[in-house]
Amino acid sequence: MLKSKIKTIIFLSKHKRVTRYYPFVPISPPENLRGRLEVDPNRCIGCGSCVRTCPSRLISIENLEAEKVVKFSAGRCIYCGRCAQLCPEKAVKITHEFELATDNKNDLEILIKIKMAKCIICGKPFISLNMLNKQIEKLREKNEEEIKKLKVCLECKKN
Amino acid sequence: MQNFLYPITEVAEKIEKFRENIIVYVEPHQIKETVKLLILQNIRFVHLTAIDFSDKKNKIELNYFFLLLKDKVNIVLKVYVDSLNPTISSISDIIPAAIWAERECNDLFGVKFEGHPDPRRLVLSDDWPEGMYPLRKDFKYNQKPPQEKKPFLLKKPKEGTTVIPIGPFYPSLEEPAYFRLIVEGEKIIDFDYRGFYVHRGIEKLAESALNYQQIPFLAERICGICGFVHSTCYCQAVEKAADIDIPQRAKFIRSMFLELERIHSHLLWIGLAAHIIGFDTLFMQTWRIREPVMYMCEIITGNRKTYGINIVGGVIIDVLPQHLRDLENIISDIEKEIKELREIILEDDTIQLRFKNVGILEYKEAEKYSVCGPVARASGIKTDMRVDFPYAAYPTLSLRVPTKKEGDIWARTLIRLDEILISIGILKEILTNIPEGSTSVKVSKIPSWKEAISYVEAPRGQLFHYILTGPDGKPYRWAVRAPSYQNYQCLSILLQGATIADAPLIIGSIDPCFSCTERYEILDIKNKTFRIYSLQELECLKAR
Repeated sequence: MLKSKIKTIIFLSKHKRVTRYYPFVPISPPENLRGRLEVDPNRCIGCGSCVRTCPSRLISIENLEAEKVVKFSAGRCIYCGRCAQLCPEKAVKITHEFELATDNKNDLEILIKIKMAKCIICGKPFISLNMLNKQIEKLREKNEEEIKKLKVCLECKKN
Repeated sequence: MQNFLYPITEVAEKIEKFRENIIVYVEPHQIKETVKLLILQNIRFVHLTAIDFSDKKNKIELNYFFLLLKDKVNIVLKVYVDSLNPTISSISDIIPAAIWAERECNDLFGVKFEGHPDPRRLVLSDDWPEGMYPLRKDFKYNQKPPQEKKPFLLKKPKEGTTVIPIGPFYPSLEEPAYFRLIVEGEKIIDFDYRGFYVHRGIEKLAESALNYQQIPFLAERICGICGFVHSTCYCQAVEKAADIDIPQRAKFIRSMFLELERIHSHLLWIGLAAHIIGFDTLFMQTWRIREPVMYMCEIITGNRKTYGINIVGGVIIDVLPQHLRDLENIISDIEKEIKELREIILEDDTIQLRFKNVGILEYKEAEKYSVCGPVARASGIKTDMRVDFPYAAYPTLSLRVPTKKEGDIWARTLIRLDEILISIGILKEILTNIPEGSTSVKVSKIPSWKEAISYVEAPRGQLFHYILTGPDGKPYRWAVRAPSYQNYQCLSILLQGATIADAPLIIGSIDPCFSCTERYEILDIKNKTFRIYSLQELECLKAR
């Protein structure tokens, strides 16, 4: 009985305090920590790849007249980082920020608006401006005609 | 065809063999006969689940999963019952391990089991209306049925006995469950349990709203301690169903985290057991030893828990060489400390007085209730899914399965201590053998109507996932049976004859995981007919 208690005391004396003075002394998170999301509206092309992959189903895209509204209700985010991984334009980024406690869920919401481009024939918005610029960039022959073709919506192309 | 199948051929309609699974189709009236024949072969009951096909063929398919350890095969009995009036005779009187599974099927699918010894509700809350079966396909996942207040049927105590309620918030493990100990003086003579307060509708949500790649993240949230086993088990099931071969490196990374999880989960249990008996120094020290393991997981994956790295087709992170070096240092450090800790525990008389000859589970009872994990191994059943059905990187790793015969809490403690050291050995092997290469493969379409069974040896025991792939990019049925689900059912045996003071320890000794067991939905229960003990009162009881 006594022997094991002495052993316990020796065991205890080998170790110093392990708790930290957080939050009075800030700690640096590990490199791979997945924290708050950051979305770059200039890069987002509104493709919806994040919408399909988000396990919490918190990302929605709403098509308005002249713009697309991408909404991240990040209060429900589980910080899996799948949206950032699968974003083709790297518009979604995972930061190291982890102190996100708030009394209002809406503080965490991210709303971005992406401008839409209008069809040069019918005048309806049909593609996000970023997507159009990307497509133009990708063109092999950058002549007027090819660019014009891209600016026409599917319906007008059919006619 | 294997020898043991000969007797069943007479009662079975059709027998198919598919990989390690033997699928036996049985007529509903033959089920009892078949199970009686199977039980002679020393089979272990795994789970019973139903699949609703009422919109296609007006049938509900009942799947009885059995395991034959010595031949390493799964036996699946498939029975079709009419979906309008689903009745079948109960097998609980032959196999007590099926009591909960049958009650659950009754709750969620409305299958009536004739002759069931305890046909009360298990999963659904008491205000859930009669005749609504949430796992049937015509029930929408976001539907909210009207409340119907009805008291829960509690076991009536015999005259001269007293009821001691513990809960609905279980104090020593800090989780919601309601235990009723029916006592005669100090001695517990009967036991009643009402749990499933944290039922979250996970299976329903996965079947109706998520796609294959979203579910791993939901599966990981089934448990708060050993979540990685669930996502691994789910991913393995889908990979099996779709015949996806994942890279060797991904398998090793999965095994690595499974072992890390076992180490920190067992250390957590040892700490909790020490806390329950009031040895808080040991509790603090085990949790201090546990911390570097958690920290290492955080460095590699970004999270202490719920790593979120599993997807169908592999893992989404890679382990860097410096991580492997750090991990090697950490595990050799904690190996030393665990050995010291082990000596302290082995020589401590107080612990032995509280643990030895308490909560004994005999080999026979353990077989009867199909318990798994350390609880089974402490009762002499040599079962470990890493050896019986090797998955991930385990076919290439060497491991030892410790067993004990005593079946008391002391034996369970020794088994868990042993397993931590074995896990450290496995980790060392993984670190030296981890191959180079990619960590995931691209998964294209997953074929529909394929089924697969996957096992993982979780820290608490054998974890079972079943998947039937559906036609629209999500599973048609995903069934989960956590190890604690099976271990819970033997509590009535463990508690019988014990004293009240030992009850918290006995309940704690099976390492119950509430959220694993109750993977479903939140609805509250109001029961004020019995006095609920406060924590202080219970502490007084414990101290006695």
